[in-house]
Amino acid sequence: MAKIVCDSSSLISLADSCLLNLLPLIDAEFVIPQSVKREIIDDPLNTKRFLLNAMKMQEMVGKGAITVCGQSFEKETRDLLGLANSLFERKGKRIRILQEGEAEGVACMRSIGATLFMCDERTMRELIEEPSRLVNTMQGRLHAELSMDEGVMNRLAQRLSGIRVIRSSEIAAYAYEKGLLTPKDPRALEGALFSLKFSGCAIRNDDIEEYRAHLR
Amino acid sequence: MTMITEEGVDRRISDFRKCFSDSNYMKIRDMSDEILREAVLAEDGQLTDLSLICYAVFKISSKSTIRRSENWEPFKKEMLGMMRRAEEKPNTKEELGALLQDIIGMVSKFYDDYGLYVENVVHKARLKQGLRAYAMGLSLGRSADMVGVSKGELFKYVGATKVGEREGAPITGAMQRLSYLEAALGK
Repeated sequence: MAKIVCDSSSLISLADSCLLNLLPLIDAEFVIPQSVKREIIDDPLNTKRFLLNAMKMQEMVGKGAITVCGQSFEKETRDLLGLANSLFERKGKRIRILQEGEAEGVACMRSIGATLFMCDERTMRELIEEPSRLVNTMQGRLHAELSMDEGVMNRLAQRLSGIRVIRSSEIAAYAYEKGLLTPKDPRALEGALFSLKFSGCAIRNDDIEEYRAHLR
Repeated sequence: MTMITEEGVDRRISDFRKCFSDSNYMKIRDMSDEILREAVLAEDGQLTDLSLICYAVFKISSKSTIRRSENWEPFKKEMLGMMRRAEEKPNTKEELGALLQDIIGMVSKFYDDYGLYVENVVHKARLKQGLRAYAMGLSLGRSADMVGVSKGELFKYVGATKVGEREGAPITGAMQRLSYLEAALGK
């Protein structure tokens, strides 16, 4: 069975859009590391605002639709974090761009042999797929000249090679394609995609158009 | 104990106090953005706090009902007094940090007492500045940590903006990503 490691953002979007129930219908193992469990279940269970979403996710873990990985990936996480957070610098000062939980997701992938990473947030995706784009964005937005350490970049690229990134929107599109998304109406797919977008999923309008055109 | 060695925070506190004293609220708004940039580059929590104060004060001052109320001038006077203390008194980063926290607490309390919305203006400032940090290229988690909100809350806020739609052609098209999933699941 294919293993898909999920970061917090993708599961938050699915929960917000009432699409978490698609996960048990898809023949894959959705895995989260401990840090993601903390972010989406343990911490929000102590809040009023996000209690319901946390309970929905807890239910998914209880049903076995989401597997919490019991292993610790401390060393791999630390290495990845060290690389990502020393990639960019300005005037000799490194810019910390990534947080531990995000690095742990990728570390978890490597350890359990998964190739798919479900991630709705944009920075992590760009870091995996095209870090040079990230430096351009950062320079533009920070109004500052940054330097990128090529050696670190190569080592990071090696660590991240072979990882394929999907978003929650691909889960919705796949479910629609397989007749798992109800109601079975093309507008339901469009509605699901826009709902994910408004929940934070970094999906562009032209991506939604692309899906509309291909998945009639 | 860490002695204050950089002039950045001090200078910014003086700038803020002057703008607030002159009722130059739009300039304070611009400052909130500039200071956040500096905070990201210098990884300085006190600059982050100051950017939150700037944004929250700008938001409060943009409400004419609050500005015209009898509570505004006393608030302004107290705020200016605290900013002056922040400029003059602290010798260490810890002391300055505590003073900035007191200022955040004061702004938050003022809004709780006289503000219009259920959501506190300081919380709104955290979300707004978190969104800006995310737009600047920090990851969602790093941005949320920096301003002190949960990832889930910040992500919801991101969803209401166009920040997710970065300029330029997509790195990987939607159908391509779907094909990754199909291939992994054996179509």
